[in-house]
Amino acid sequence: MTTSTEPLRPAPSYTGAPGLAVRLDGVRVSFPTPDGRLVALDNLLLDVPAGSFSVVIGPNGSGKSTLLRVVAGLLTPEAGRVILGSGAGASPPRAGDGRVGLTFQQPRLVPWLTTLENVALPLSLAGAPSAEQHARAEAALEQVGLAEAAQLRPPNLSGGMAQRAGLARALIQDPPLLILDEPFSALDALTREAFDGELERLWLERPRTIILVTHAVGEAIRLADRIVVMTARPGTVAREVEVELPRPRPADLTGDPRVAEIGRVVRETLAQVHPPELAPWTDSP
Amino acid sequence: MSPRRFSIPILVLAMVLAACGPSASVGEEQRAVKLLLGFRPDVQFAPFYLAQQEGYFADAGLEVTIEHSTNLLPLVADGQAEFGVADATDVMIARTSGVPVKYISTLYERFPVALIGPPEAVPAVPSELAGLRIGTPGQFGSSWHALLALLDADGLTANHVTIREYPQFNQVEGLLNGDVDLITGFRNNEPLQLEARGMEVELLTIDSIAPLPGPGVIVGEELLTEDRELVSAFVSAVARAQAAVIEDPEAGLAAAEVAVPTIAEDREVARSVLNATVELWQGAAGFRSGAIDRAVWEAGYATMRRLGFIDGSVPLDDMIEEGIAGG
Amino acid sequence: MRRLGASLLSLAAFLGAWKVLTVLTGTPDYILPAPEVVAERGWRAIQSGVLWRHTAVTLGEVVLGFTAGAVAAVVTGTALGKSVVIERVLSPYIVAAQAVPILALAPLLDIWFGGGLLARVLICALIVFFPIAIATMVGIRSTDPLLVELFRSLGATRGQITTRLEIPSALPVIFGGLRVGVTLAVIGAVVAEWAGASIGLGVLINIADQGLFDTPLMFVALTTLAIIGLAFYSLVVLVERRLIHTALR
Repeated sequence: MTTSTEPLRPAPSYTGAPGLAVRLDGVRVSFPTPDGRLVALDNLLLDVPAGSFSVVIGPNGSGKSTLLRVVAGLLTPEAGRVILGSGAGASPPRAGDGRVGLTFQQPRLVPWLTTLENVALPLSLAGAPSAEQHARAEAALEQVGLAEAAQLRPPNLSGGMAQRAGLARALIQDPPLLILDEPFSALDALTREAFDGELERLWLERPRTIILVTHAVGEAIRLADRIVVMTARPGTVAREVEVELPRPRPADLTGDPRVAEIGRVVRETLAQVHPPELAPWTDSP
Repeated sequence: MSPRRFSIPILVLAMVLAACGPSASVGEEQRAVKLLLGFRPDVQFAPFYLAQQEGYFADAGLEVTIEHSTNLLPLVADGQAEFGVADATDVMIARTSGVPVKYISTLYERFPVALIGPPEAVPAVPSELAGLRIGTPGQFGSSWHALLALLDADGLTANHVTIREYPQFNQVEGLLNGDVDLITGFRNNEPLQLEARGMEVELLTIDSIAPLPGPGVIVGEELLTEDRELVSAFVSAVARAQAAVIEDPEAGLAAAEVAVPTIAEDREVARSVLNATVELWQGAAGFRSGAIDRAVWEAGYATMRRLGFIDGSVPLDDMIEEGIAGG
Repeated sequence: MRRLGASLLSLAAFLGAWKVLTVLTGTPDYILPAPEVVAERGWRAIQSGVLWRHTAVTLGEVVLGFTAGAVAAVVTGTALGKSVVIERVLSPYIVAAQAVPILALAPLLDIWFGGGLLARVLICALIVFFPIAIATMVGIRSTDPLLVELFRSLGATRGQITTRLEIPSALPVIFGGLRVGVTLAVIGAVVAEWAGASIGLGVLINIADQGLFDTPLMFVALTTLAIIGLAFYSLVVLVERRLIHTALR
């Protein structure tokens, strides 16, 4: 049993089981503010099946980022439970144990390290030998098409390159659960489409559980097995919408009537639970 | 026109002319000069305060401002002040370094610095100094020169003793707590301090062992050449004031209190310092109004040269100007 | 190469202006010596070994004092930066100590610590301490919180966050403090010597000025101190360039 001052050994590269299941049961998270407590999540219930690609959607302020942090082990809920995995190995999340790969909205690369060193950072903090760090980081960069950027430093990377580097870092320990917080929202729409496709490809090649947060309905439909619509603050699940479309999915899903129906349901739900943000600005004449 | 009509205008004219001539009346035709003293105001400068207050300077046609400086030799040489009071040994070194000042009047006939310590520690002859621990402010100044001159008299050097430096001039503390066996100090200062703190002391003075000239008045060479009369007048006024204080030390004390109010806080101490100071102004032959003793200067010059403080490139006659004082 | 040329040119201009000033004002050598007089006096001091004897001592004080002060300052600054409680408890004392003129404290410190090299290194370290500690504190405080969260999400320990994120992130600011500190170290060595040394460039200044009335020699000592300060400053800048990779490279 490691103490809280030592880094945890990364979980061994998994083979076989396609990822961790995630279960949130009655989760409540609130924060102190000068005006009293702000409740971000309340009585949230969610079951994410192992190996599935779930997309959480809702406008800003619906608690999506808080949800991700709870699953990643960065926040502890004040009520309810979070469990990763199922059966004998199931346990609450713990930051840095290697089960969860996390990307943020910003790339969050360490500016004085090379791209290679940035990607290797999780292994470096866990005390892995440098030869292993080097080899696995190179492989991770290969995966996201950044092999040539290995010796560049973050200020010299484009937005897309930096985001990919962050993804490579999240993947280096081959985690059975990957959490992505609006990974491509800072990029232009075309790059975003391309990256969405690459993300799906990576997941198909190496299945694992993915939870991705976005506020783009189109992206959600393209990527998800299941779309989870969040309510306004205090956040909970408003509705879960299944997306049963074949994979791999094309970038342009217009014209597919099933897509239109899914989109309609999602948008309706969103309008219902987020009236102030999503309502028309004036009454129609 | 009758002569009587002109008599009043002529009388007025004569009075005006008379008033315009050189006279000793207050505020007219006084030459303003600056006198630099070292360190800080003290009762030992009583003659200068007396001369200011009793009009001795005014009688000599001078309006004297007193200031204190630690850089007085270069300032006097450069003409930024007219006169200063400096140690003779410092004058020798400065003059050799190219600072154009001249020593024109002796203020202290007895050298003020001595070795001080408890009676059992003070040797009768310099050779007995070997191996002792001696406290001194630093490796420059008249205290250092005197110490080395004493050692040299019996063929010793600073290497034969252990020197402990007190840059804050608090070497009495070292003597009191036993860090050193002897200290250098001023005969009108440290012994009085030590006795006030319960320590009996004895002194080893240099006057009969390794004579060095004492502090005196200095002037810049340029001013001396340009206005010998002014310099003479100043020196005479100072000698006059010194004589007055010798005769009536209380008057000197009173004048010092006016100039330096803090002296009144410890009148008894100030009085004993002044009395001790007055003793040092006078040699075996009493008060000689500042006359320069060439014999002491020659002996001192030779000693300073032997000790390596001066290299002899500047002759003694460039350092002193006899004949100004002692009239 | 062009930078070297520009430096030499500005040095020549400075010396030229100095010479012109002494000629125009007609100041004597014992008030403001001309550059060639100082140079000649310096050459003699080098040949006789006097200059090196004093310089070596002061160099040692600068190196030891700066090192001791800088290490203590980075450690303290890190603690101050990471803990608001520590800052609230310690900073009144640190600021008060800084406000008391070290020139007044130095003689006391010299007596308390036995008046030898230790006392002087301590005084020098004290003078160096404050700017480096504050720079470190500010640098640590300005760590990007987004990166702190990243490190936490990777399971970094508190020690790892300090050594692998906060301190490297604070290096540019810390080096700003080190640049200031290293020049203060030269001042600190001189102040420490004035409190009670018998050898060193600070002592040489006093001896030249008060004892020998040799103003050119005093200028030689001052020039040597300036050169030492410049040399150490350049050294710090060199180390800074090696250690800090910025986007400008």
